[in-house]
Amino acid sequence: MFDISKRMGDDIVQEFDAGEIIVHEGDESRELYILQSGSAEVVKKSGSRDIRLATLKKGQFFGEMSLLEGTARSATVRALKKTRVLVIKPGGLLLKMRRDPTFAFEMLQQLSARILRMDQALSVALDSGNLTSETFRDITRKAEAETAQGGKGR
Amino acid sequence: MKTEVEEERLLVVSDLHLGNPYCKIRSEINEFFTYAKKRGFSVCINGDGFDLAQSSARRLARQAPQMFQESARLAVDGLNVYYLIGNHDIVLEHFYDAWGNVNILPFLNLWSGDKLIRIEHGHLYDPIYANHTLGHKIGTWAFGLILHLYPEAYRAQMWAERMLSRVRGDLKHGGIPGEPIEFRESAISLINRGFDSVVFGHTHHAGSISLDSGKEYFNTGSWLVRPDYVVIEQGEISLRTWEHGA
Repeated sequence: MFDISKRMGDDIVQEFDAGEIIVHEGDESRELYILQSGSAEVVKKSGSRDIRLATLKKGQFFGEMSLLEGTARSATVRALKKTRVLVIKPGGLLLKMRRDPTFAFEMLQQLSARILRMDQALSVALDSGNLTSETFRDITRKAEAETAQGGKGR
Repeated sequence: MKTEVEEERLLVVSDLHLGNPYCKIRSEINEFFTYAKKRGFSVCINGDGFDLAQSSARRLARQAPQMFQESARLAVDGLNVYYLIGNHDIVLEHFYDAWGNVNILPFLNLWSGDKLIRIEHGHLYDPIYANHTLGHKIGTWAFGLILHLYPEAYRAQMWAERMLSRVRGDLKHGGIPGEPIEFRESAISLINRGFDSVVFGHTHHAGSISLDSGKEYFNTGSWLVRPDYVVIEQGEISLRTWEHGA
């Protein structure tokens, strides 16, 4: 990783070469990243395997869950080619939203799309019998309890 | 709502202000849409296509239906029409939904070639509109009264804004003549988050500037001043003026 240490206005920019890890699953960092150029993949560990969850292209962002919820990184993000990212902290996010309200709109769109995809995956899992309603209730209760305690890893 | 779209060929116009006393558009809309249809361009109206604040029902009824008909003609050929919401459209937004063949959006993230282009009306970056929305509305409405009596007052306003931007030193900082420097700064902010080019409207001052990063910011101006429009073809952008009868 090459920290350009160049501030673009209030923004910090970092550069990564192909294959370099931008964030590690389980890390406690709290930044939001916006891809200025290049592309990256989002991978999650499942046993000994890496499962690719998404490929990100310029203009897209990631890391908003850790920034908003204070949770550990839920997946690893790796640069697929030379990639530049804008690094944003909570204060910078508020400023960005004030200066560029469409960014807040796009963030809500991304979160809403993610909830929609999870709802669809859940419906498929319930319909196919891979997930029973009892197990689903247990998972929901556990998640609610963690949220009430301030969140896992918060 | 799909704000990210792919179009290899797109024409962008803004601030037609159909219904405004100063609006002299007649056959140009028909010619423009016919050109788009013949050449296979989708069309984006980048906000303030209609003018309620400074209009009369009679003027609006005379000029607005043409826009609805033209967009329907384009849809028949599978071309898309995008209408982005401007500050004059917020009240009208409620019945734009019934305009079936048009995509009504707050902004457009356009992929064309391998370029990512942000098209947005831009009123959110207008310092007066953003910080004094009510004052801006009242001012717009009051100026509308003046326009009904002296439509040429609009020309004086454009001149005054160009002078003001010179006095403020906006030009020294690389802004488009006539518009507040905040538009250039907002374009840079969008470029910093991955866009290759930015297209705004709202200010009525058409122009284009190269930013430090080698990327470009365009303003499509207003057809109240001159029929300027932006052509996007496979990611390449150019600002042109519509020639009557073209």
